[in-house]
Amino acid sequence: MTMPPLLEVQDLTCRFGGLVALDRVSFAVQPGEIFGLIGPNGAGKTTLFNLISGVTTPTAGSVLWRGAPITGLAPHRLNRLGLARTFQNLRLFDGLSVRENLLVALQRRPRSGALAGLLASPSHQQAERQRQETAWQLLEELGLSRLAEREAGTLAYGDRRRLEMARALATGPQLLLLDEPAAGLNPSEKDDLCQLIAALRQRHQLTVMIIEHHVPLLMRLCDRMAVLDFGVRIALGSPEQVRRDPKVIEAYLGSGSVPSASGGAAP
Amino acid sequence: MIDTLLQTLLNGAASGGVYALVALGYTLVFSVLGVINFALGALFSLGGYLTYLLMGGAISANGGLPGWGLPFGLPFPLALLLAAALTGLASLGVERLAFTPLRRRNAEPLLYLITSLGAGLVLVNLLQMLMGAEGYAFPATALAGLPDAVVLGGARIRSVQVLLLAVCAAAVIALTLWLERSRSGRALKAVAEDATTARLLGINSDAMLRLAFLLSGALAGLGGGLIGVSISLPGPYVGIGYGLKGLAVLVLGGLGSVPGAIAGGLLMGLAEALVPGEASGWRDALAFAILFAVLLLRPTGLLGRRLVEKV
Repeated sequence: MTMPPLLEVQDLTCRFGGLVALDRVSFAVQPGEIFGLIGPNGAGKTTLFNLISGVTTPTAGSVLWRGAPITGLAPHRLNRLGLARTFQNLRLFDGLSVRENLLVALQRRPRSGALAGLLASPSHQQAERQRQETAWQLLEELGLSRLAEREAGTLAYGDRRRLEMARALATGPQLLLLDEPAAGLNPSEKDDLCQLIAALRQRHQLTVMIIEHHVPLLMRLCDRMAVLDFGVRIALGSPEQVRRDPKVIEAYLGSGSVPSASGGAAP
Repeated sequence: MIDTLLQTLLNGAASGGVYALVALGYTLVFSVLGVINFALGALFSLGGYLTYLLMGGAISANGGLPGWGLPFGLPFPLALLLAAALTGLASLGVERLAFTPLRRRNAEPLLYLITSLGAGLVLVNLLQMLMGAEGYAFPATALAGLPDAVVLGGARIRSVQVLLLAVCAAAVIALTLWLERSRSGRALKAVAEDATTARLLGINSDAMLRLAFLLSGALAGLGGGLIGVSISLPGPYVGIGYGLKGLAVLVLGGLGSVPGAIAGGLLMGLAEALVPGEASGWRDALAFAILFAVLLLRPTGLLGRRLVEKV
């Protein structure tokens, strides 16, 4: 008996009207690995994240969490199971402060009843103190503590990216889905991000799924990766295997760029 | 002269407080769902009548159950709070009947307007069938123990006005503290900012929506009970007028803004109070003239940050 994968998708299919966004995609993500997803624009990467995180319901196929079906569960239920994500186009609570953004995500850590909150009981106060402390630790860890009281909408772009990651981490996930976390960052920020993700995996015992257009970054970071093209999974394996795969080369030649480990990001 | 002015201002602030309660009721639901709950005025009426009944008041001869009353009578403060809580539950019922079925079908916002207006009218008509169409004055014992008036800086002020202002202020402060400091208050704010993201962070947005309806109904019910005790209940339609005024205040303060609803309520109440008694027929005209003037200068209202986009 082997351990079931942390996350498995089986024949996942998603149609929007006549458009097939994903066509029978299958793969499994093992606990502790960093799993990359690449593919040309419109390949269905973000759709896949939406299906896994419960934002969209699949047309067919299933999603398994440690071997148990979770297809179609509401996003808040999935989050409580241990699944968190970030967005390609950042979705922070712009009107709330940086700290509040984290506190919202810390809602359920640790748990305290609503009644205890109303009565401001000692256990509730202690829980609240613990939340504030966790929020501070995360802010420190992601280098945001000096911005704690700023409104999230006023932060610089790179800080907003890190805040979104901090907020996802605040929910205490086992699996973190990162949708193009390096988009819009300069090369040195990209390097920092790479190190940050590797460090976060260590410290928080995370499994990470990451969508990224910057292929060299993914090749360096990932244990394994899958390649999507027009909604179909055309390759799966280690970065080395994927890079040599003729189908992958063809897909990228078709869209005008070849993934390489040395440089030249896909546009 | 100063005394009269102080008196006028306090009266204005007291009715402004009630407007603010209603406007906050709209704000809670609007910020989460992006639509106006037009049944709120009817819930206001319900709160007034429930307070009357819980104090042991009897149904009039023209009502559905002439002479019937509860076998007990609660003191006013208890009756008021219990009536507010029950109105909150009724508001949950409105959510269930007039909002949930549409939400499941991703209906257009315009449809919520019709269904909530309909739910409100049904509620008002039920009240009329049960209680009759004429007005009710609260039992004289309602405020027993309270002096008729207090003297403040040389001005005689009806103590019921002071009570009104105090209860409104307490409700507004409690709501603000809850939103700013509590776990569920923060969750509500998060859902108001972006429901999908809040869900992805583990917040049950449906539960927060129900909470918004519950609190919104309770605020309206509180307003109804307060108007009942300070003026009287002129009929089951009492809440419709306050509902409309609350709507004006909501727009005046800025849709979805909590401080805006409070400021707008006070401004509206004070402006009305400054209309001299002999021109009292012009009160509503003045109120809406202010609304137009503010909207011409600031289309998003006094404290509205932006027009909320909900798709």
